[in-house]
Amino acid sequence: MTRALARQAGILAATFLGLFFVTFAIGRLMPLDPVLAVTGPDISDEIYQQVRAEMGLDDPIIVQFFRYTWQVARLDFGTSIVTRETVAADILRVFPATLELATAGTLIGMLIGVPAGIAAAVWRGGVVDAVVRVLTLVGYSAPVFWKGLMLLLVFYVWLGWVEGPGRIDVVWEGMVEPVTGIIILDAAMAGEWEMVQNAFGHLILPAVSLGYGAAAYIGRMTRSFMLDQMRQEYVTAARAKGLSELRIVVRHVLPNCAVQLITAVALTYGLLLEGAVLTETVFAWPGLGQYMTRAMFNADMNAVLGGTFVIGAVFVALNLAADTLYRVLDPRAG
Amino acid sequence: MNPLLQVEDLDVRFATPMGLVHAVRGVGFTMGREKLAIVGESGSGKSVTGRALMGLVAPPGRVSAHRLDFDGIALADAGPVAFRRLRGKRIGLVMQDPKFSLNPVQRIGEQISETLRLHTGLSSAAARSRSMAMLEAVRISDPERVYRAYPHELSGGMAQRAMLSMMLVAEPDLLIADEPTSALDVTVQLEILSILDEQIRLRGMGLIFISHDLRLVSRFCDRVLVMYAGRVVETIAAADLAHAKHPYTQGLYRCLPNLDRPGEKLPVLNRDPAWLTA
Repeated sequence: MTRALARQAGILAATFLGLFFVTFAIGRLMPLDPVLAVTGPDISDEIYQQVRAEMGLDDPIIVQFFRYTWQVARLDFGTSIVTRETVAADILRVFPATLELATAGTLIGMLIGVPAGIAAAVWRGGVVDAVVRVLTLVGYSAPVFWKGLMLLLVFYVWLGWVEGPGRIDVVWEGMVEPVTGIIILDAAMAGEWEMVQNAFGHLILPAVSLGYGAAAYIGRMTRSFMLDQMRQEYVTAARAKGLSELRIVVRHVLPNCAVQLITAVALTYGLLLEGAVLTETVFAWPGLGQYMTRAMFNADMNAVLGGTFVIGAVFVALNLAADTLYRVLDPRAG
Repeated sequence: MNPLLQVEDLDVRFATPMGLVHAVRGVGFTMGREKLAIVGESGSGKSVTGRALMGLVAPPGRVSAHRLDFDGIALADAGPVAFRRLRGKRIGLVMQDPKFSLNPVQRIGEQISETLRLHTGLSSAAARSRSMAMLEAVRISDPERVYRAYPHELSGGMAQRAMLSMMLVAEPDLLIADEPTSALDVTVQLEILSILDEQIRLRGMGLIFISHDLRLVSRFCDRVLVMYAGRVVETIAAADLAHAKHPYTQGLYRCLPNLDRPGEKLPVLNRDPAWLTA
């Protein structure tokens, strides 16, 4: 057990070192002058050299790499030239919005996708299967911004059942001190139930448009994992024991699919946490995707690298979590 | 008294994209609480016959029978529920390779007591001790460890004993063993056979032993049903196998090398198309 943990920690350290290296390399290889990005183009050669020396760009590349590693390890990503704030503070502000949206989207994807996939596999070739297959095909292939716009048109503009773009109505903005940064949680903790309702009304459409795509992917994967397991001999053995089909699915087939399902769900969650740029744009959702896009358009390298690092770290953390769950659920993984 | 199993004109067809496969063609036999072997080459329909008796032929397979009576219960036109009531409780099935026939993510003990609890409604403590006794009965020396183990932690022979326990624990009247030793090492095959033999005799149950090994079967069973291309070509007492009448049975019996007469050329089995219709 100790050895397994040590091995895990070693892998983690190596992964992060690789991540440091990649973000560092992107920063150096981009055809952007980091000095000019700070000073602006109209400066004398003398000042240019002085700033360059101050930024440490004259040092050997290896020194620069370790200095960078040390900084990032302390979560110091420098200052954004767009917001004039530290990138760390910016990310702390925008990431909870993305976290909120991605979590809601993944939950919807899981709660709809897994049962739909199971039903399609159990009644393979029947009506349920056909419906699930058509719906997942649409969820897969319709672009997310189109789904978002259609949802807005129908449920916000025509029916008026939900709130429109943004995370919260302007009247509520700044009403509650951000603790987690996730508005629904913050409002709930402050006991502002009307505000919770409002935030939920804003969240539902973007979450559904992301969740539909996630449900399509998870549903298709669930269906194929299930079909794969249902062909196995142990299922015949379970039937020979006299178990009902329901019990066979719940007690024997599903636990065997769980391991693969976790990987599929973790992958989906990771992709959504990266910041769904299109969805965040359609719904004016101030998340990581929007922040990164703006940073890129403005050649705001500190923000781009900081964001890239955070996304990388999130992926590593998710994989670690999936690996751990995998070990718990599959006795063979040891 | 009713015979344990009465089968008349059993037919199994599979509608495949390549056309209709007629796997079992009009098989019929009657058996009591005896050890009956079904022998034949690969694809002769012996496994499908075994599964059809338990209602375990999955679509696109279709089973029909003029008569399929188990201990007086008519199953020929019965629905899936009638078969399910018998499975595990009155008819058990041991399959070829325990590596695949045990659920890999469930403990052995849970898999055994699951059968028991389903059919007897015993409390979990009672089911546990009965399962433990069952493991001991199949000559497992440390049932505590095996009960808690996952299938991948057991050797093939151990896992097959666990499989046997899972299917015998609810005390069925008939056990269908489908090549129960073919996936095992030669050294453990005899051990498993002797355990199987002992349990069948002790419980006074019927056994259908499906195998391709005619010589093994001749020492182990009372009666042999020889199948070829989905039909029963010969039914013969195991003791009389050396004097079998059907050329296919003779061929199967003689196609193994004999230790007493080394260097002898093995005869080639010549299949006569007339067997298909005989």
